Amino acid sequence: MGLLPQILANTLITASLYAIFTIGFNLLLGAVKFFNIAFGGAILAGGYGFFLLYKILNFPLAVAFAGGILLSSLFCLLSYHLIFAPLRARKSKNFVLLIASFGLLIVAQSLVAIFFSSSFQPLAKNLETLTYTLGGARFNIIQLVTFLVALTLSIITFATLKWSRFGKAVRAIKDDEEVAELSGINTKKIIGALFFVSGIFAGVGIILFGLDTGVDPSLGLTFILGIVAAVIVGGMGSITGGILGAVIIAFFQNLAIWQFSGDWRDVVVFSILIIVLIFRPQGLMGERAI
Amino acid sequence: MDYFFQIFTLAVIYAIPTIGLNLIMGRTKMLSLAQTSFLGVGAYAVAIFSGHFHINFFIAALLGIALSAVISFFLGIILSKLSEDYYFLGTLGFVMIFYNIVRNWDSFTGGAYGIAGIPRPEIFGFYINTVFFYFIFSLIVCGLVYWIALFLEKSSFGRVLNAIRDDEEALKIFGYKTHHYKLIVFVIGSSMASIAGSLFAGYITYIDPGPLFVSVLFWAMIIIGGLGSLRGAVLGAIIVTLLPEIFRFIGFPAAIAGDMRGLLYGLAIVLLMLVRPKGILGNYKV
Repeated sequence: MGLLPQILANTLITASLYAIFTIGFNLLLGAVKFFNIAFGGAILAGGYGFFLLYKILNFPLAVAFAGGILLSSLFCLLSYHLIFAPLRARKSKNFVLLIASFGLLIVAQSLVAIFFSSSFQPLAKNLETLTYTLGGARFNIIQLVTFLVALTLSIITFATLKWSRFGKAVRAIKDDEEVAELSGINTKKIIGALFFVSGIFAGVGIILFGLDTGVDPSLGLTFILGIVAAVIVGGMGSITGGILGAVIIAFFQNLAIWQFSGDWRDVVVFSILIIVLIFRPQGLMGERAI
Repeated sequence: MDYFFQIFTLAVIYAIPTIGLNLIMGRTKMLSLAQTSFLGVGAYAVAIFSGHFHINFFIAALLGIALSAVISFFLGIILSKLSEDYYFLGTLGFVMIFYNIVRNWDSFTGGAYGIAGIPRPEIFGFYINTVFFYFIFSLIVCGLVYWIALFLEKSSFGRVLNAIRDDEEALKIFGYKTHHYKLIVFVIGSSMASIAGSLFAGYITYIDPGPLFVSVLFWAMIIIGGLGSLRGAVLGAIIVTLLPEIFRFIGFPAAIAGDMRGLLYGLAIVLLMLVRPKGILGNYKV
């Protein structure tokens, strides 16, 4: 097992996971222009929905996978209709939206901890998963799937944004919501759909992560912090920027784990975040990029 | 009666960082999560200087305030370029970095196990070690902090702060260096949190790296009480400290008590944003 190939492989795996999350997060951010911290709640809803269906109720893997994703999407959709749509209709400031979404994450985290306890729960059933070795790096089947899923989802997202009617509407809203509405786009419906779609990404990411390791209630916050760091490093609302940010964050995380220990991972991530905030607040790719 | 004083001592201690946060967030709209870290600076200053090096509690607390002022000064300069959302994320980054340093620097902070056996405050050979005396002691300190905040609010300095909240751009045109004002407020508000941290450490006599959850607590307090209202900050601190005590009487298992509190605070924040974003005593439109 080579050291450098392994670090690169680990970076690729972490980056794939964060790429899945940041695509979902950025799709929404581009349209609504506020940091939906409650995305961390959707991550918890997906992970624990899957846990309930697969580990407790013993549904087949495919059913549990679909169920978990549906649950995280519904979480996002409900949060839009019950909280964010009324607030946006009132033209609330970002300040209010941010506080509300932060509150919602705390609610989700507390609920999950109350019902499923705050201990760590592995999501996989049989622990002997297939492992592969490629060029001196070891990885398992779930990690390979995570990479392939991230790749597929990125391609689908780019294609949809570029060529479909829905994608054009999303880009129009991203440029200027009021103008989009004036030109006949049902912005409320599109934004509702974006909330739903961002939930799909949250669900897919956390279930894959949970199958590889496991879930606990603090993951919502942990992941949202990493996601926000990656999104800012890459450039707010830019899908390519988010993916780039995911790679950068993943690389430095794995570098920190190798150089120091896992304990200093978050320190490194947030130091990067603060450095980027100071020197290039618009992110590496800037806000205008797709 | 001891139970009554125990709860109210906590409420009074919590009112101090809330008053500070109200200056920072309610007056100049800087969304700071960093209060929890400065609370930590004050608490660890007492735990280390007073507990380990046997320096008097009050001197240790003053050292904590000085340290908080220095840290918040540099943090304030670093973050001064950022606007609302980014400011929030910058302070969040700081909190995570601070938390991880405290948690991992075992030899100095005791790591995840924390520091136990912190001595009670001692003044002229008299130890403040009963619940009642500690309550009175905290009340005096809180009163002082309240008075400082009130003084700032009534002064010309306070009027500039209100103007920053209402229209920072206009004020810049009039030649005010608004970022200087914001930096001063940030340092004052953060140092107040340090005072509360020292009081807290002397009261509980034990300190460990607390969760980010504590930041949410202060946010809940000023949002419930009302942004920009000094009395609202104190009211919010009392409500938020007393509310979870209801659960004690209902008799939830201790294992989920903390999460029930989180649920309650989270719900309160979300509902207030929907129903009354300016809080109970808030006097400015959010």
